[in-house]
Amino acid sequence: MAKQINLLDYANKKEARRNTARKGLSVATFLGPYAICFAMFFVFPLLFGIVIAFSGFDGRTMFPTSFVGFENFRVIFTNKVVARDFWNSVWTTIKFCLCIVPLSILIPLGLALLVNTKCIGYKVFRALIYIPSIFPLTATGLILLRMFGYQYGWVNNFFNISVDWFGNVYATWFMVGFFCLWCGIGGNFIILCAGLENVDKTLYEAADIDGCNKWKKFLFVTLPGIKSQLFLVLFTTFIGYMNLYGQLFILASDNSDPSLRSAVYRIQNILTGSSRGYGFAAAMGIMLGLITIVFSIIQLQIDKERKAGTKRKDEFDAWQKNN
Amino acid sequence: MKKRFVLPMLLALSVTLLTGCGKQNTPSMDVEDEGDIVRDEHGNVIFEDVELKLWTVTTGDDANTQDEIINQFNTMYNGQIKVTAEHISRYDLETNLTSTMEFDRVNGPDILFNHGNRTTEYHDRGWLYSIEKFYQKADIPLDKDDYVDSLLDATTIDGEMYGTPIDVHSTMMEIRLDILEKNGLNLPTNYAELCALSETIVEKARAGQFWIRGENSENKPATEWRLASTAEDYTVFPIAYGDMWVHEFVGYTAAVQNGADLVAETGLPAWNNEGTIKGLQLLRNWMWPDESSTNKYALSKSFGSDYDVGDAPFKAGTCIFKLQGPWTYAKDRNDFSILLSQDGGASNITTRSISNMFALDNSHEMASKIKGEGHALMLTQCVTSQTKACAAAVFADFLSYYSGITWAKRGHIPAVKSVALSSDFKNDPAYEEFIKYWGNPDDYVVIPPTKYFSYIDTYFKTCVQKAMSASNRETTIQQIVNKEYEDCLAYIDLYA
Amino acid sequence: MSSTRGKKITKTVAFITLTIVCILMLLPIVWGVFGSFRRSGDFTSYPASFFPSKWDAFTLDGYRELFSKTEYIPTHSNEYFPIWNWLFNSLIVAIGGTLLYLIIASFAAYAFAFLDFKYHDKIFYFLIGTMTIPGIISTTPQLINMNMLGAYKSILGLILPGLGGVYGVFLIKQFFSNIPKDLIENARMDGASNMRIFFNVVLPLGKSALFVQGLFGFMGAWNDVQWAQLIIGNAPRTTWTLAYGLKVISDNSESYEATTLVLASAVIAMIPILIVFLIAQSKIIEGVASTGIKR
Repeated sequence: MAKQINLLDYANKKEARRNTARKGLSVATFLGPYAICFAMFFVFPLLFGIVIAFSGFDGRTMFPTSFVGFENFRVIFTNKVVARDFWNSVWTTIKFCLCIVPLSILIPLGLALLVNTKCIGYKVFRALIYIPSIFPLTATGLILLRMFGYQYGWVNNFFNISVDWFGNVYATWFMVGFFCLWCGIGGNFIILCAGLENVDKTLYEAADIDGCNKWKKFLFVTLPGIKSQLFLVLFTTFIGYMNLYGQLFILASDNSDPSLRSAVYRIQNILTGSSRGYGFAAAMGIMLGLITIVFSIIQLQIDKERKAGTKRKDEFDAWQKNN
Repeated sequence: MKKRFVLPMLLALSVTLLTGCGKQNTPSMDVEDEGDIVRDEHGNVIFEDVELKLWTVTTGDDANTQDEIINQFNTMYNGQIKVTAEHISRYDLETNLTSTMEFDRVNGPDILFNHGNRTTEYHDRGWLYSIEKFYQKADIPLDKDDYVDSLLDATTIDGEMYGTPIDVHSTMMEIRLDILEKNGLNLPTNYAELCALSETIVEKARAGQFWIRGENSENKPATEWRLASTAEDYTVFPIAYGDMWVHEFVGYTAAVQNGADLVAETGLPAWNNEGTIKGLQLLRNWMWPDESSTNKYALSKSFGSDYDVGDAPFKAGTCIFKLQGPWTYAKDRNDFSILLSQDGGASNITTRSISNMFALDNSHEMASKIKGEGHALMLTQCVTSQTKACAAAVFADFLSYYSGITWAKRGHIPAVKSVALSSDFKNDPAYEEFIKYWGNPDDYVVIPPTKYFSYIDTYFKTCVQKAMSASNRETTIQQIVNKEYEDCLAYIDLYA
Repeated sequence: MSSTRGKKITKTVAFITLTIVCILMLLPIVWGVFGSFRRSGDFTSYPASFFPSKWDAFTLDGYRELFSKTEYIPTHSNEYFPIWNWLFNSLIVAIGGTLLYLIIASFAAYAFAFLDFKYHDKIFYFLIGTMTIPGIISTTPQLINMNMLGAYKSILGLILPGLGGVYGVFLIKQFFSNIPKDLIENARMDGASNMRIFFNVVLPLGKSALFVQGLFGFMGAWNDVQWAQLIIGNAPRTTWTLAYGLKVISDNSESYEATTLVLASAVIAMIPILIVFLIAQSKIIEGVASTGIKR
């Protein structure tokens, strides 16, 4: 009953094992450095942050001093002022996102299409559109604050109007939106430009032969061609604006109207105070993250469906069967 | 495979973290015994090359003056005590302090020069030693009656002084004397007179008979008199909620001058009262007078979130009063000496404190009070040597007693009453020129000590802002105050 | 042919629209730059004027003030603004940190794109998922983390946290995925090791991704103020970065009078990154064009 050692089998298994070893070594070399950095500088603080969400603080030190289970979460859902302030700010953030994300994608898309016509000086235009977004927000925000000042700002005086750009709530939201778009569309613009460059030119020729007009070409050649860039842009822009903070802080922190606060603003406010609030802040952060994840999953599902969905295949099968 | 070694590493890190914490923040000095103090034959503490690290909230020109004062001290105590200062703006000071006291006490500051109202909060967080103890150890006489009551109260916790009050300051007003004189009008000394003055002026201006002068865009010399425009009503005193002077000082002052209490015995907010409502209503009527307000016409346009709204109109002559920080007075005098150099220069303006300017009832006992902010010198728990702590007390004593007139020129009234009454102080020409107009230290009140200071401050300021903002005009002051008060209590409750 | 004329019309329309848009985009910046040379009284006297209203409103005082304070004077420790140190520090953090991250991230992206290991797509989706978590949860723990590693109050503390970032890996991997798999297969069949494939095949083709991420990384490091304040805010002034230092300067100058100074500091913050951008963007465009990958 000796086991039959098949030489070929043995050689194969040994080769396979060596391959696995080599592959493992490859993965370790390539993925290793990043894995370590990711674990140390991303996962660890994040886990600790989650621990903080379940801890209590005594205000004297930054470290947790007690374990309070779900108490922090209970507070942010049921405490009269905290819940009202936080969830209002979450709703404000979502509303803002829904308004600004489409603009953040459509405007750069339009501009990218214009630049893609390769008119005179298109390279210069491409650079110029991107430029406002490379500067620190504090610098550009400062310029906006002075330029739209109520009494001495250039805008109010040149156009002879009298709008309190940073006092009136609607005007302030407009300014925040303007600031976000002005300094934010650069990134998406570049990515969409790159995407447009990569659309196969022969497809356009084919469409021309088929007699498609411009609009049809756009719908059926361009858009599908930049699908993955569109998705990248939508995904990251949405997450970015759910975490709106900098622009709002620079322009609106002096205005105490409670509807001018985003979720991250509220959280940051707590973190800059006594450490007693750290637990609440962490719990809020987690809730915000969960909401963002839900939206992101919805986006992922839609994208997956378009890429590898079985709708078309099913229709084809059904059609074939009927014929 | 990535997951396998990540998890144990995380666990190991968490364990080291949580066991490593808590150790660094226990006080490192036992104040009951003598520590490292060495005394000479008379029992005085010997200081030999003691170095003190100071973090101070002063910046800009204030900081330069303070550096001069510190230099004086270092020269006086050469070889014994040396103080080095790091100036950090108030926006950053809290954040920087928090991380230093948390992670880096070894390199932290020994002494802090910050607003007195922070004392209770810092003590609550375990950052301070009682500086009074070291006055005792260093045999420095401490006459508590000599300090302005309100200021000393703010830094005293459980009967012990945790910070030495050094000064108090508030906003002040500057006045265009030349315009008043030219039009035969008198300087108002209280709110009622201010309103009467405004009525007179507006009616004169409407009739085309009010003379003004100053910077203008018609290329006329600034000294030339011209008639005020009849196109819009003349506003004598521009203010705005975006102005730091308003939300830091005037809002509170208006409430206090009408009898409001700010903080209760327990440390909880107490500004939900008649005085506050009256004060804020007064401020709202400043821009939008109604049938019940003392002023018939608006004293200011509505500037919303703008700040320093008085500066340009003051120079142009389109207003008579403006709010500013006392430290700016010297600069403004300079500006006017150039602007109106052909005719009087700097003597065309003068300065007064805002006593009585926001009181509906001038006979009220609180009508002359001004809400100010005081600085105090505190001793932190970064100090590990008792000799250093005694040196800190020496420095605190010096600051409060010997920097009086220099610091007052920057607009900071000394917290020590005897300094303000001393001949050194009164004989300095600056005193006659302007310091005496800023009231005596007793008129100044600061917010009583409370560990809920940040909440009280934030929510009160929100009240002021809402009361003065055009978009909230539909809401009554009572509603605004009640809502903010309740929110304030709710948050305090949460964090207690 | 009508389509050529149609093309011309399209191009002209595009040109006009783009010109208008660019003017609008640059308007505030131009105003700011001119404003930094304008006497501050000019702002209040002639606020409707876009440029300094007359020749003598033109002044270099803002810049003079900014640069006058690079020397340490013990009695004026408040006004010590060692701008050159700040510039140097910012460059080290931005360039060094970005290069380091590019190496690490491109290695990782290669692994996700071409190394077929177990669960590789699930792990990748996990990474994408972590991007949705608000970074603010990790700020305080990260501070404690840096402190434990001894990187508090040092330049290292500015570089390290960025190395765990996910966005770069995501971006580079997307670009790498566009490289045709057959090129890789061929190289493998030729017996090339993964290292060799990485350096000789993938990198040259995926260059544009590296430039894009390089630019983004540089920008992020250069412009960051919040994290800088937490990590090096308490360190001696010479350790600060340019963005943080300028914020301190502008905090010191709150009045309307200081408008010129504040605008001047904003301009100083903007110049270096503008230069880097202009250099980098030509490389990026090259890279994107040369990829011209067919799907």
